[in-house]
Amino acid sequence: MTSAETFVNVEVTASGNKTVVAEVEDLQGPSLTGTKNAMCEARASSNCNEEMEASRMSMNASGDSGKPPLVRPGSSSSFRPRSRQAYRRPQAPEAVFSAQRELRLASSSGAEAGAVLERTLADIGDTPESLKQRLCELRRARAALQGMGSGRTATVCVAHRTIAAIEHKMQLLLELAGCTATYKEVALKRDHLLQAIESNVGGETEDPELGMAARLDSFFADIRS
Amino acid sequence: MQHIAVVQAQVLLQQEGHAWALEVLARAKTVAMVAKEAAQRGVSNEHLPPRSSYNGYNNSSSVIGRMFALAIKLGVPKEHPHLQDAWKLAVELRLAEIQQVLQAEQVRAVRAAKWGDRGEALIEAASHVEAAVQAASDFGVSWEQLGALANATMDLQAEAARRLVAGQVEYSCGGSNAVCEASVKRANAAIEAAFAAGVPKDHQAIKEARRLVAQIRDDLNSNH
Repeated sequence: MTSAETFVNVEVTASGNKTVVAEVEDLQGPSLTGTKNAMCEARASSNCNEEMEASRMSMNASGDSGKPPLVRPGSSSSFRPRSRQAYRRPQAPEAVFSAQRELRLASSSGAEAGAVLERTLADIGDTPESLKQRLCELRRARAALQGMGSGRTATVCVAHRTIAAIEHKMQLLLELAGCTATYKEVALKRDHLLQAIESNVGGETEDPELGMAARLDSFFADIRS
Repeated sequence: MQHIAVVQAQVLLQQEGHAWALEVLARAKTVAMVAKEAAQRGVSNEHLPPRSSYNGYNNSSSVIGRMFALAIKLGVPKEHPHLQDAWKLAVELRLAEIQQVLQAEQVRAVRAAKWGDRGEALIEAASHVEAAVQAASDFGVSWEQLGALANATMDLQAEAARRLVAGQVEYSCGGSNAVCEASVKRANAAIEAAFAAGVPKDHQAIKEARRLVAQIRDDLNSNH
């Protein structure tokens, strides 16, 4: 996934000529998987919009295959609808990119969010503590980014998934740790438990009346005390 | 490949399971030894064990059974050799306990016969033995192992029918036709009840009971 999506519109006019229109749709959100990170970083620069706009205009001006241009500068016939064209996303401030970098570097090893997700799924040696630390870092970075109004970028979306995966794995590991601790606790009481069962050999048969008598004895003993 | 925490938990389960099985077997042997000594003391004692102690919650076999169940619940596999040994011990103890119940009931029936019992004590004895056999089956003892004891219950039922018919012979001897007819009806009812309880028709005691019924009928015919 690339954060800067480039729409290339090939429109056929009434005369059969083609017009290639390239439009930069989104400049926010660098790559999460790390495959096209450098490219996305470059596109995330502040003058990226202007360069793309210039490129588009030059293509329109020169025309396709030496043919006269079909689209005049300023004409909107070959562009996307006005409402969409009129919408221009705010320029990403440096703080947002800084927060995104922080989110990508959230893990202690500096892996990107997508890599953190893969590592979380594949790691067989992590502990609830290490997962908790990773989770805290990711949450903090995500919160910082969301606070800047960039809550829908691909980086944040993958961060959501990563956090969910870490939470689930941490919950499973915590449950396992709890069960293991309980099992160890019961194992420590092994002699006591088996002795309690064994001591019933030859005792009185369970009888409600006897149980009632014992209960009343206990009750009277409590009253006296 | 599994997570290291899962592997560690599996290793823990295996190690602790073995320890549990070992401990259960050791304690089962102790319980069995104590039960054996108690049974030897009981042979020399003329007092019969109370019926309330039959199939008790605190019988030796039940205690071992509870230890076994606890170990199983804690994850020890049923097939663990030590647990299997403990279970065999529990089954043997349960069979010995039923044997003890049977002997006690037979002694009670013999004593009741001396006091003029006409089969009622035997029927009660049979019901107690049957209940013990059923409890043992519920405990987990196989019917193959309980077969001989189940047959002993049938013997008690058949003997109860024979004794009741013999009592009717004595009762109707020299009596009127109405008395004889009533005795035949009671005798036939007792034999039918024995069949209903599962006694085979060719049982020796049943054959004897039928012979006695025929004797009452002969008396009835001779009166005519």
